[in-house]
Amino acid sequence: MNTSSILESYEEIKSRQKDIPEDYRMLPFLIGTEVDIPPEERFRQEQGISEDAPLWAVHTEVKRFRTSRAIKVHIFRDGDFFFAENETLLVCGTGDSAWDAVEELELHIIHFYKYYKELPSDRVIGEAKRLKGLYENLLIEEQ
Amino acid sequence: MEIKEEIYPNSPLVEVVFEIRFPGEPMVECRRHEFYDHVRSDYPRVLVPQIKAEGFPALEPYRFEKANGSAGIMLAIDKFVYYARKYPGYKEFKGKFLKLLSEFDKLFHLENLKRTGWRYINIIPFTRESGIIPLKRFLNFGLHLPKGIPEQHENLSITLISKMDDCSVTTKLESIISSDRSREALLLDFDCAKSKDLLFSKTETYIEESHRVARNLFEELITDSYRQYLRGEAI
Repeated sequence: MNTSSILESYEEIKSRQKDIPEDYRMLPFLIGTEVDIPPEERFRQEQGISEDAPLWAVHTEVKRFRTSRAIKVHIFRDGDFFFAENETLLVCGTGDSAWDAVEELELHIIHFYKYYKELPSDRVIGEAKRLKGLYENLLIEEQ
Repeated sequence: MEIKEEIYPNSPLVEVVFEIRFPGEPMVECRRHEFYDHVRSDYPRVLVPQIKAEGFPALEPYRFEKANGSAGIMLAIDKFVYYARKYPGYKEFKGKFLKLLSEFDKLFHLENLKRTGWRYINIIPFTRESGIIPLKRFLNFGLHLPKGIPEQHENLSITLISKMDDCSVTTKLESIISSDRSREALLLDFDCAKSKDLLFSKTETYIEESHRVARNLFEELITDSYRQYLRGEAI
């Protein structure tokens, strides 16, 4: 994924919001209902905001799948590395950016979907049986 | 329209605020401590305003906050605000607000209001699909754009101020990113304001009406698949 393009688009929005003629001003929220900390700032400060996001589609370079149920993805950073994981499916993607980590997670999900779908039911026990039950109906291929 | 009361386990609400604004009343500022006496056991944290270079000190609210920061009151010469960062559901929120308002009323006896406002702030974490914000998975929201502008949005920032019956609704929808760049979210921020012929004695009616508008807007805006996710129906 083009990480720099996404980051640049955030900067672009910020820059355009300030880019108004001198004789004009931005009206929204001038007399809005009072909040102590602007919500954008709270998100930056990570105050009580969920770290989980839903995933409804996964893809490789050539195939796209939608998920039968939303997959809850926990995204976090540790040092220079980013992680995207789902504890129920026992998968984790890593990368140099959050977007790369999610893309890797998607590849793992597709891999295990194919793996468990092809694995005969009489060859699994315990945790593998649980995972097969979850994975084999998880994805629907899109044309 | 019927109001939905369901509390979602994965609710994206990060803050709910209701405020009343009134003509500047020096008594409110001068006897702030008397009001605080009534609430200090529940709201022990006192946060004083930081004076801005071109601001007016009397207009900057004092904050009386719960020890864990989950809720609080803002009080200034022209406003009384109650906010909850851990929203307990509407009934409880309204009950707490009205109890505080009753303490306020015993001391200050206001008649007219200039404005009421209900703010409903949602932060909706998302993951991109091929670099694009999958807006339609979350929200029934679209703009009729000419063909030259693709609907594949890399980022967005929209603020609409709309007239609705006797209130004005500000809707802000914007993609935001955390400072460590690990997470992105859609900020969905509603502000339902009333400002015409308002009476203090009718505050309960105003909170009911404003809540109804904001909640219905939210329910109409979210898609069924996102509602399922909010209900916890996810792997």
